[in-house]
Amino acid sequence: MKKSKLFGLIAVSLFVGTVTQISNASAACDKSQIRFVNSMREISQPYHGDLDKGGRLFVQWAGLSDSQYVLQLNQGDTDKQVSLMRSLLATNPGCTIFNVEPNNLPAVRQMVEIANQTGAWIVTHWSHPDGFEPFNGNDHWIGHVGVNGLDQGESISKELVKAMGGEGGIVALQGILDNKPAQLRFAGLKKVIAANSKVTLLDQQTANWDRTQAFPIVQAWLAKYGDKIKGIWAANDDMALGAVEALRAAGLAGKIPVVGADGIPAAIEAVSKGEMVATASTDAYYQGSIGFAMGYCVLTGQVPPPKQWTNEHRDFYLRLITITKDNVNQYLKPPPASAFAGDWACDKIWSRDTGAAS
Amino acid sequence: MDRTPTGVIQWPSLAARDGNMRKVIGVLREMAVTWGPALALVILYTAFSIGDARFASLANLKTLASQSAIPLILATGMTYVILQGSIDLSVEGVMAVSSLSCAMLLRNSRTGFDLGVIALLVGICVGAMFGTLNGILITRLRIPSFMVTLGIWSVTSGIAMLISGGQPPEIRDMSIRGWALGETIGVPNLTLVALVCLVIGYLLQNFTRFGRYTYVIGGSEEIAKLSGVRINFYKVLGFGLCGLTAGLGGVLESARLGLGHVEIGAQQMFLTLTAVVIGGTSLSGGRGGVIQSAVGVLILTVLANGMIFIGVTPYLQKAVQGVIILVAVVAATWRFRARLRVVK
Amino acid sequence: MSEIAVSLESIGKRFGSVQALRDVSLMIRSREVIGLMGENGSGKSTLLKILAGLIRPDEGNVVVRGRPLTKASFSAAAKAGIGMVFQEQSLLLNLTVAENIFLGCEGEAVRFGLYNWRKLKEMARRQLDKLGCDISPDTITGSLSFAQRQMVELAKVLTIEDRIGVEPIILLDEPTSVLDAEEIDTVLHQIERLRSRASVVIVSHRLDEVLRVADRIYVMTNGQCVGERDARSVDAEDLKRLMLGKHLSEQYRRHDRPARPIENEVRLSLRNLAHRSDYRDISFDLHAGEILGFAGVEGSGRECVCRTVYGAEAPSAGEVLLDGSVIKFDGPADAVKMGIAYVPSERRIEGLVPNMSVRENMTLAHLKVARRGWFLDSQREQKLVSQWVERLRIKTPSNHALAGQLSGGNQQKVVLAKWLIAEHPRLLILDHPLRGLDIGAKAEIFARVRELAQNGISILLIADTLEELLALSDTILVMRDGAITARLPVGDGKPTQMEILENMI
Repeated sequence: MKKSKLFGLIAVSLFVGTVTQISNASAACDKSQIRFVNSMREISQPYHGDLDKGGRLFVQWAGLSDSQYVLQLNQGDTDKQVSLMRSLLATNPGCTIFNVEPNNLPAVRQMVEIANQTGAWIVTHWSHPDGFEPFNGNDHWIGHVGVNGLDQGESISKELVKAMGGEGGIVALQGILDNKPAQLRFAGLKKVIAANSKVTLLDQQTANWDRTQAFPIVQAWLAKYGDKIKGIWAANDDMALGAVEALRAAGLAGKIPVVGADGIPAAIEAVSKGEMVATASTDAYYQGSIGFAMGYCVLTGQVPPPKQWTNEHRDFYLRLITITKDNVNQYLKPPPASAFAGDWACDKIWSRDTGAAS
Repeated sequence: MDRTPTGVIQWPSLAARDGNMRKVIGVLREMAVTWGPALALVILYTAFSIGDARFASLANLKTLASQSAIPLILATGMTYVILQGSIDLSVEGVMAVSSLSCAMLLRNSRTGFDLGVIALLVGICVGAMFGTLNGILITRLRIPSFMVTLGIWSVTSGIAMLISGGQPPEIRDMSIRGWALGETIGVPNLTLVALVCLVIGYLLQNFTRFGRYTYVIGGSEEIAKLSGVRINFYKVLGFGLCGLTAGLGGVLESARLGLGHVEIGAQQMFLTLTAVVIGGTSLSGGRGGVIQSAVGVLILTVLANGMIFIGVTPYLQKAVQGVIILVAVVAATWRFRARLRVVK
Repeated sequence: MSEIAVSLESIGKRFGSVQALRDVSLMIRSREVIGLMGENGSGKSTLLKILAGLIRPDEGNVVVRGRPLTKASFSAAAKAGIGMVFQEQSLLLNLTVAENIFLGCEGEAVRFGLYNWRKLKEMARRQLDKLGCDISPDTITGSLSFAQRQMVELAKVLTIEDRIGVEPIILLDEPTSVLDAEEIDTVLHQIERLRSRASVVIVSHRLDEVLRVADRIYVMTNGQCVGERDARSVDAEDLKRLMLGKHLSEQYRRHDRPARPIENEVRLSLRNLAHRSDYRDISFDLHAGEILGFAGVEGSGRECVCRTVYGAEAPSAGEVLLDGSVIKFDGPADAVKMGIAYVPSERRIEGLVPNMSVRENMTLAHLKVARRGWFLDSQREQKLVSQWVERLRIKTPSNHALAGQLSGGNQQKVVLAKWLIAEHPRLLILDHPLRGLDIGAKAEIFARVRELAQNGISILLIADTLEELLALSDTILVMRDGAITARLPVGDGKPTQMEILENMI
């Protein structure tokens, strides 16, 4: 008898413990207690600057104090990214939301595990290790917002071919050759070329994502191929802009179509001037804030805990925005917070979900 | 003390002692060192022209001229530092600060300034200032140039990042942009600037005390000191000049690309060092000169451009470049092998 | 005769425990050529450096034209009219001749930092003309021969007379040691010409040279000036006697050591060995357990022969046999493998790693002695090293002190220990093993070297002084100008130092 009583006691206390943990974890955070952490590489690139701005914009929009926003920069150092997270979680982990641009795949795993251990919440972007998913028991990994590089490469390639009138030679500026997004975007180009028999790939070179390095390569192409070049494809906007300047030096800016990807402000401006044809944007403002919106809705109890979400809602590719001269006007200026009301509201946080990521 | 230099084999004495055969070999070797890089340049140029006739076209000649402009400017300054037996690793950082300070003062997407040419001058002066700072730290604190300039590289990159704040200023001053992208009587304007730099560099090197003492310091600081040469003063000048050319390079690259950016000088430092060394300027100082470095720059430019023409796959280009640099360096330093041999 | 240009008054100088100069007084008249002679280590180079302002004397004064030099610096000496032509030449090989001549004092050739090359070359031409020398002023110095560089050095020193308007005092430190016969003649001829416009002090090993150019000769022994002779009336025998000194240190005496039969087995055999212009036709046998001393002045080729045996320089003709078989090696590493050990004279660059500890230096080449299986037995290593530190009386704060921080003599002892600590080599080459050592350490090394020989190790020895050579060797081989001039067995007080010297110079 005594024994069973003891068992009962243990069972009750375990149950109570579990309940308190759950309540602590999900709906028990005071708004003013929540910390919003953007973890990213650096802010010297416009893309990262916009991530940061997006995050701040959300905090203001939600009516919270600026001091609740934390920016963590790791300069490309994975260990630093992880240790920065760990050190911040010494206090109040249960009410801290991480919106993460991971340095590489191992960083995703390490940071998710820290979140699981400490009770902090995390949303990741771009890509994650194969077979390591939020819905495989990682209850504090709210979700993963993936980017489909193949789609990105494909959408701008279609715009380029359209601008070329469906025929002629293309030269392509690649990103860093052993980099996954660079490979996927280029695969997107090749897919489009394969579908258009009159379009050929004249040459491809790497400019390592860099504007300065793209310039001399395009100069050399112009000398080599002359007017055989009907279109210039670049794996990102920085290189595309380098190409535009090389064209300008040859008096050809705006005469040969150029496409890039990422949607940085200078590229958007170039699209509006007609010097670039298209860029595919992931919308850095959105990426810098959507994790906060999801976490905020969870911690204030406005949506159920993530483990009750469908798998598609926890790991999806986001809808890309292809910016061309048709829609460029709405992206020329920094967006007001109201532009994202349709993404941040708790009933709309999956508005850019294009379905499960592979 | 009674000593003969037993640890070192002195090649010139052999040439003098062992009859005419040796003398002829010595002269040939000397010529190979002097003319080797230029010969390599001619061979590369010819080979690429045979590989693709368009490589030798006037259009591509212009492209080569334009592409070598900024490396030529950087190499001119770097040559002085290396002639003195030092090294400047801060070039990329200094270029970044110059680029950003200049871009922020020109008409741009971030600030309300519109200072035109003055902005360019400010950018160049910022470069010269950091170069001088390098020199002062090295001579006053007696820390090796390697360490000091590595530190200044970080410092300047940091400052540049602070100015940039994640929003690189786009330059909107179209007259300056137009000039930077334009050409005069068929020669790109930046190439003309580079040529002026080169000529000034050459005159400084051969006709001023600063230039000649640069060789003295690189030859032997001991002897320089014994002869009453103000080593520190000329070292500061050397680093100042290197900073100035880095500043000029950063400013011009910005004007050409229309952007003030932290990474405006990405990979330029390595490229410049390589060019200076394969041109025949010895890293231990005292030998070489700006003309040699210019040849080195042209070799690298022709190589990078030519590989695009003959269609070397991008996956291989780095390796090919590496091999050619290795060959050039080995050829340039071959005759010093014997001198460096020390028996343990 | 004419006025006194420079006088040295009771100069004394110590380096650590070694008294390099003791109470040296001499004077140089204007337009006079002084020969300074003495054996290696007798202090003549030190004296010259004091004159040139490179070293400050501990005692005594340098008085130039009646005025004592207050500051010991090269430039202060130059201002007083003293210029030195360095043995290790002080020219920049990457500059033109004209620039070298006027380095640091270009005068009117540089205005506002701008070079007037024509002017500079003209000025250089004038200096070279003084020497009747037809080197072009815009030649790159590195392409000149040693003799030609010597001329440029002289021309450089002669700028003093234009700069300060007095007759210069020119110091020449072994100006002929690296030159061949024809070149030597040119240089000596120049020195004779200089007599009409300058005072000259020349240090040389070669008696004939000194006798040819000098007016007066000072002889130095053991840091003291032991004699002054008029060059025109001097007797060569007299000079040699002076140089050798009256006293022989007691502990070096050859007959302290019991005579010992040489084992018959030939360890090392050289057959018609030659090396470019450094030496030629060298043949000799070295038996097991024999100590073979090499006598000869700097430049006689004896160091080079040793370096060839050690594999550091390939011979251009002839062969080397070790224990009967011809050896060919690619470098010192092969020599070490074959059991040839070399204790070099320039320990800084050849024998010692200055920024490694005493202990590491000692066991560097022979880690085996302190190894147990795959691992270093550091206790054993420590014990061995301590043993040797004590035995050679190496003055070091600890076994872990950096070798570079020790005094020169102690560094040399570390290098010696490095080779002695190992299992015994077959052939040991000692290149000036006693240089810079104090008397106690010398005796210690002497005893040790003899012990090694008794154990059957063959030893090739180059020593600083003849008395050292005589005290240690079983046989003495004399070299002059790259050839062997005598082979003298040692025993019963023979040969005399005089006999050796006669074959040397």
